[in-house]
Amino acid sequence: MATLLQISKVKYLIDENSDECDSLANLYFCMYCLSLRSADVLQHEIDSHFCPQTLDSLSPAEAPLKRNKSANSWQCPACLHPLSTRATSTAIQVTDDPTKSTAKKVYYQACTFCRWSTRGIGMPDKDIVNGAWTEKANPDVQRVNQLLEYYKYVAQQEKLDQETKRSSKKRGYFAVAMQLNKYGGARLGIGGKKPSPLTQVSSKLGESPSLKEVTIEPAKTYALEDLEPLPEDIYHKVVNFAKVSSVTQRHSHPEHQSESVNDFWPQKTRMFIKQSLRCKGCDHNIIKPEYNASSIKFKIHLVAVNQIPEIRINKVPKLVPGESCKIILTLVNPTEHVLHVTLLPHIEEEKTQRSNCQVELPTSDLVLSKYDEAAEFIAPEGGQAQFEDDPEVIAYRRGNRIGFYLQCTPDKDLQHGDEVWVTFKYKHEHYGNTTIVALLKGDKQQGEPEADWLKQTVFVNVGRISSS
Amino acid sequence: MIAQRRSISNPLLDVATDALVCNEATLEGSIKVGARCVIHPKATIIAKDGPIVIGEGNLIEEQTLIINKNRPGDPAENTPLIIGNHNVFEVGSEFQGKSIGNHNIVESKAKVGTCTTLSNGCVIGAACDVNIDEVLPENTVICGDKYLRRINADKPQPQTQQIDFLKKILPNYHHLTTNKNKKTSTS
Repeated sequence: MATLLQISKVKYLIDENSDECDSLANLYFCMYCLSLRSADVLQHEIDSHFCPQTLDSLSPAEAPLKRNKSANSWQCPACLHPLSTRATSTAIQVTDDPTKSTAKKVYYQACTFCRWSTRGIGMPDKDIVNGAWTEKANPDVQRVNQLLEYYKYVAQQEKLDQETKRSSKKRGYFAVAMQLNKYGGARLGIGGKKPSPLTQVSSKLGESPSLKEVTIEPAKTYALEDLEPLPEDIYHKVVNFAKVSSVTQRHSHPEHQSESVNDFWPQKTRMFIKQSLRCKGCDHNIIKPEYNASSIKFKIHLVAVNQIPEIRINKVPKLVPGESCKIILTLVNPTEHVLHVTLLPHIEEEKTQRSNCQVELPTSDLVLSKYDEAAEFIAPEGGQAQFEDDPEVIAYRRGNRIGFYLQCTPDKDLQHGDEVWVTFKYKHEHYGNTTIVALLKGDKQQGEPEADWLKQTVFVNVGRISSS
Repeated sequence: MIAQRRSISNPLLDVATDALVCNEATLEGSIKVGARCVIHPKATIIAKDGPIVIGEGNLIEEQTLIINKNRPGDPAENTPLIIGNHNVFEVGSEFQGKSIGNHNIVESKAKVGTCTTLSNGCVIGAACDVNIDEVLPENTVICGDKYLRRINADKPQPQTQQIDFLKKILPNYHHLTTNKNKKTSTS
């Protein structure tokens, strides 16, 4: 929780060059490049589309065909809450005998949040639970299809032109053959093996233009004079907001945008995207979601908080300009290895200077015991004695976290209310997936896995100056 | 336990024979509970500025607060609060108005102030706090954090099934207040 509460207080440098920094909670860690990554420098990819209600998932290729809409889940047109199907029984007359009637189960959809229901708009009840519901047909579907076809044609034409242009720039007798492309539809495979100019020429000559021209009528336009004048009472009539749809409601249903609440119609839930993140440097996956909710095959979740020892602010005394004080920072080890952390000074360039405080860093190594999931169930005694802590440096030690003292002196020219930033570096071990690899290989002789040493630069906002 | 004592010892309480009022509900002042009503334990009904008359088939859930309270500035007349039939006051709701019709639902944590009057079939959505000087038109639904209003086509269904179920199950676990509090039945 502290990680999230101090989100703007403790920041880690991501990129030395751009001086970009962010809270550890927002960062990722590429275990192949061994460096921090922010969401901006990662490649966001669509892994799959999924429906949050039915938990169905679709591949990115399929989803546009279904208009990114879920097959079985519907949402309320009034409040966009998922609709739930209700069953009720109605009496229907037996065809042979008009005096008798039998009970029959019928279904309708209702919103549990705003109590909108398909019965309210006069939609007939359905006999089956799923599948019988339909969306209101888009009145402009024909026009949309025409335009789509036209744009496809335009895109293809442009591609063709571009290829012709590109090929015509080539030197020598190639150009002659390429010129012919213009009249025969380009066939230059991108990245593929290029056929010899001679075969190209012969093939082009025999080929008819592959593009069928598509023409389209432009949409009708109206002059201002052609428009009907506004009704006279438009500015005086009181609007009954209970009967008129809101902007959000209209936008959620862009093809109809019904003005009256009576024209509402259930609509299919839009699908969400499951996103995977990829490191641009090494092309490895940083985050990869599960394919569906029930499969837990493997997990790649390289979130920085799980990999990098984290700095938190523990206790800060009154900050007075020019006066030295002892602040306590906490260092948390999220990994299952004992880590040694060395604090190092950070020398900043003038223009990017963030810190306004002199720090005296402890010179000795800080040893962090490993994160133990069972720690909270075991008595806190024992295990602590193995570390010989210098009480001058270590304020406390609890499980996988320690508190350490930092002597800091805010700059003299700071005013009351100014933020005090402490900057330092720390060096720590990082045991990547080497242990996992060793385990998979069955290597048992390997004692301690080899560690990489990583350096992090951290900016800590320890608080504000309080006057005297 | 104060609640228990109050509802037992209230001489002005009139509970219809087939209504179900739990002992642990707080009912203060002159209150008449109509037939087939269910009042859960820990509900509070206070007839402060006049009597409260509760109609038939109302469901008043836990932590509900119903007060007959005059509007600020109104002379303290002894006007009654008349609650119609088949209304539902969900958990933690609050009703301070002077009149409520039939088939209304005040959802969880919703609050109706002294100025607002509910007609019939209105729904005040969860956590909506309504206190404008108006009579809500029939079948008005107010819900969401933006208090979006809509007129529903028909009124909400009465909760008869739920009331029947509660009438079966509540006596198994709670002491009940019966008419005029002459006797307290246990089961």
